[in-house]
Amino acid sequence: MTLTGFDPEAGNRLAASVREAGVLAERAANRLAQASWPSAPSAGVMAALSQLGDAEQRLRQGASELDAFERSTVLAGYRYRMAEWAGRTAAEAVAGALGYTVGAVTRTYAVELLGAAAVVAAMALPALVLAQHPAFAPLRSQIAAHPLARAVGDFLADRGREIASDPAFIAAVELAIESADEVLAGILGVPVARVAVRSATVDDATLQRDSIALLAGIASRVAGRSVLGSTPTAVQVEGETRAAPPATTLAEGFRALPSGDDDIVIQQYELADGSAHWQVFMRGTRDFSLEGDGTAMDLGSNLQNATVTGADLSGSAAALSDAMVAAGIQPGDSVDLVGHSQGGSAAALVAASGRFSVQNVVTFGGATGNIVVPRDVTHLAVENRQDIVPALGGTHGDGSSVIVQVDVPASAIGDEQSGQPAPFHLSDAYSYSATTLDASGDPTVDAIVAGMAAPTVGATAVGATTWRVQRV
Amino acid sequence: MTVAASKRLAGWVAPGMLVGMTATSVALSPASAAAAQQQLTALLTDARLARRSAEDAVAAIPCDGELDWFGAASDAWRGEGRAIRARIEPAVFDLDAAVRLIAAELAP
Repeated sequence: MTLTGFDPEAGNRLAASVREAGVLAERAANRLAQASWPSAPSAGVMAALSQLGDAEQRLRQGASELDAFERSTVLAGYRYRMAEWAGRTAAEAVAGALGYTVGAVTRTYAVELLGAAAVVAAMALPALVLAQHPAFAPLRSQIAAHPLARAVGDFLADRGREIASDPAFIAAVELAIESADEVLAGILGVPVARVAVRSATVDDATLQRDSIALLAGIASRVAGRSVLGSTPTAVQVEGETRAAPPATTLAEGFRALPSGDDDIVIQQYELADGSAHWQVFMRGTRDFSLEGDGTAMDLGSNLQNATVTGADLSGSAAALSDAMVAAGIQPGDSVDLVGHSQGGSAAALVAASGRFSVQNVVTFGGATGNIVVPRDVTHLAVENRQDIVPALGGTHGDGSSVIVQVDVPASAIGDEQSGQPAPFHLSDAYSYSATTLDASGDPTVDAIVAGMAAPTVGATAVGATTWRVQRV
Repeated sequence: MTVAASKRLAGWVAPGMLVGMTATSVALSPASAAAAQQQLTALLTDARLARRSAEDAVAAIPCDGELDWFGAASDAWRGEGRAIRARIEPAVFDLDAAVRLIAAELAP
């Protein structure tokens, strides 16, 4: 099991722990140094004094070593930050150049590419249509039943899952998403020099999200859908769900995510000082088609979420914001948000919008890379290393989030979910990650979890509402 | 006089002092015996408090359970923390032994 963390402040935070240890060691040594010697020590007391002297010496030496360790911890954090930044910048530069080339080639050979696509379609479509004809059903069954066809199918299914769960492939996808603006620049024929200047001067997250919006818009138009133009709305389910005790650990937060028909659960608490505190939970994508059947927790909402930065909201992020307002959350009320997958992206976007007084956001497997959460909001992004979905949000480059990656063993995933296309994105895997992080004892994770739990001490559960997200 | 100084003294003159102090302790009046008890009680309190701080210091050294915050260098960093902890930890055992010895002296 490997737990990897990315946080620009990690070095300083750990150095503070080292400093605390050093202070405690020195305090112990000083206490021994100031202890007074009995006027008439017996042999037993003399032996005790000898032990106390040994302890003082060890503690002094340890305090001095911890002082040096504190400095090397700060330095390790700085070096790692620089190395990580340099590596990411270099990778993004290469991916950006590649993306620009792909865009430019697409533009240059647009007619030829369209022609080739048309020829392939002209040849393939009739064959596909014919192949679907009932008259060919026995032949299709024969082919499907052939050992070679079965072997190829099994191989592709297994390898597909394997490749999609491979951290190297996931990193490549992350860089490809990061290069959306360069691809678009290539397609539009923007001169290379201007692309370089824009990349250096314009807010990268906004640029990438605008580019994704345009590319997704083009793609959805080509597909004959204009899903990006419609907005999902949160709809309250009749009746209220049971008010539950507040979630005080990552595992409890993950367990509190809605299941069944609900998409959002909003829990209200009254704090000891009479103020209101809210915990909001949002589930992930329910339907992977562009327009879901009876739900807007679909691919279309994912695309809409990918095109905004929080300055404006669309997709299920707008629905989440609407539900929060309708539930009665006032701008000054403290709010913690927890979301899985699409719910995580929506939660991070709502936090980025600044519409509510969000204190903490915990996202499990959310595509939150390019979402810039304000510095005064704590964002913990839990990402399974074998989960491709977080990579679809691009890289976390601005340092506004604490990212933790968990290597999930295959044994943590039950039989029901292990056969799914992206098992490491599902609840078994993230439930494992939440429990593992709770038990890790890492000071950074512990501090974030404690920050979520602290306001709820002595809180009274007032009530809870559940919401569905539907397209109108 | 500090414990460190007392340790040095103990190393130099302990054998001679032990003889003299045993004789002195025999001649102690009930009043000075009560004062000695008070001194030992104070020393026991100091030793116990020092032990608690030392134990907290050992527990506060980050070298177990932390995430890999420094990439490939994380293991080396944790190793350094563990090495320091291994050098400080015996102080807790020393203090445990000292507390036991002083408590035995105070026992009726």
